[in-house]
Amino acid sequence: MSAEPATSAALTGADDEVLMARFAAGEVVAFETLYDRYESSVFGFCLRFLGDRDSAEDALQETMIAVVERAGLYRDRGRFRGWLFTIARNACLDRTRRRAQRHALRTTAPTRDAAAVRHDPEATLLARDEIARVLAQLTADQREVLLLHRYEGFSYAEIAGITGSTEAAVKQKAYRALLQLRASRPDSNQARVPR
Amino acid sequence: MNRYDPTGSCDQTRALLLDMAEGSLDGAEAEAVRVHVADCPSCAADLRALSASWAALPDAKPASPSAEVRRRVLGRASAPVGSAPAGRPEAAAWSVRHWVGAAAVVMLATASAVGVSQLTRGPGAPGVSQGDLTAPGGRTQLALGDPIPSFAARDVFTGEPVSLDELRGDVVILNVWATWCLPCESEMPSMERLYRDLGPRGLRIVALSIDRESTHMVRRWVEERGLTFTVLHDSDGAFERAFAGSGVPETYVFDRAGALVQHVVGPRRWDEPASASHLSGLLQSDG
Repeated sequence: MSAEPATSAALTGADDEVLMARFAAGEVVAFETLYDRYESSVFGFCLRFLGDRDSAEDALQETMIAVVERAGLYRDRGRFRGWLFTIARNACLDRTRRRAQRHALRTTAPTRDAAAVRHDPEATLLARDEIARVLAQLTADQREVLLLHRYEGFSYAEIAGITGSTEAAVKQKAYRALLQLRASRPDSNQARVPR
Repeated sequence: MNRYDPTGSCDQTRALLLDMAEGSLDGAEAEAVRVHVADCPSCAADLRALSASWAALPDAKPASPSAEVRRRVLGRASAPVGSAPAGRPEAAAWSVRHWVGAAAVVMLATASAVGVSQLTRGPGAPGVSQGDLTAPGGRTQLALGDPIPSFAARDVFTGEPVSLDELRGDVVILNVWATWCLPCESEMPSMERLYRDLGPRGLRIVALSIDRESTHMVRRWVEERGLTFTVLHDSDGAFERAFAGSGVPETYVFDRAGALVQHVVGPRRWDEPASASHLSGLLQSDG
């Protein structure tokens, strides 16, 4: 690894591990290159996981800042992308849990910001984004498996690492998710709905 | 390797149907699946459903967040606020904090964007030189025994300015934090539990956000977590410019007399017995 400061353009071809090492050594431009490399894919994942643009931007920001904060602790050599999506996935799950809690609270008590209740950005995105609309029919853990496998290209074994599960369990979720999607199609009359 | 036993069960076949539907199965395994589903209506139906669903998944279009997210993140990467990324050279220097005593008045050179942030250090202990008080960058180091500063920032819910020294008479926990700080988030629930337990006895928790984001964003973050203690927002970095810190979260505890009695660097479980007992003792004291 060169110790010379580099420009973002010069680092474009560098692999993730080299960029993380250079950032941990203090080269901010190395992180900038990583950010630009993954901004769209992490945001797309969060957007389709959460179904709401504001939350997805928050999750992206939290993910990338966590990378900044943990750069010196990064030890997952060879799997930066998996590490990145592990953080992103956790950020999304956290927001999903909070949303569920807020939803429960709304049924029993007024919130501090009534405007937030009236505005439903999730519904807006679902009407606009085909993937988000389709995957909204699934549970969060089914949705994350399809997003990571189909749209981010992770293998089922890699997803098991990201989600802290087993490859068999991940494949089972994907299997059930696809059957669920088939069963929910209007033209479906054969598929069974998994238990 | 052929994982499929041609004499095996539907369960064995189903373990391969997903790969088959995705088109990633070939050779002997694919042939074995074809043989099985030819005689098994249930597996054949699953394979048709899986294949149809897989093929019907929409293609992804590139998604772009607002440019503001990039600006915030890269700003954080290039100018760490109080806490440099772990492992970077400046991190060690930022963690040194052995300045003691207090005797200075530090006025902020820049008023906050909302016009209320200011800091004044009151008269302090004698015999301490100015050099002992000033941390790198000309900032002041709070030391044990120092009076609670008259720093003011706006409450994220009411919009009203709150000056810390107005809280003298209560035991005050001043927690410096940011929404992007995961350790900060991790200690918030215990802080909330502590506040609900000891707040009625005179414990004030003031969480000072140093986020550069909008106050609305900070307020939303707080709302989402159901925090009920006071949250102030120092959006222009006035506190950081005035005080040397080793990062976030960083917490200062002041007794009823307004003197700094505890300084905590990093997250803590605030409602654990030892911590709660210490604070309970402070509440019983007249200061």
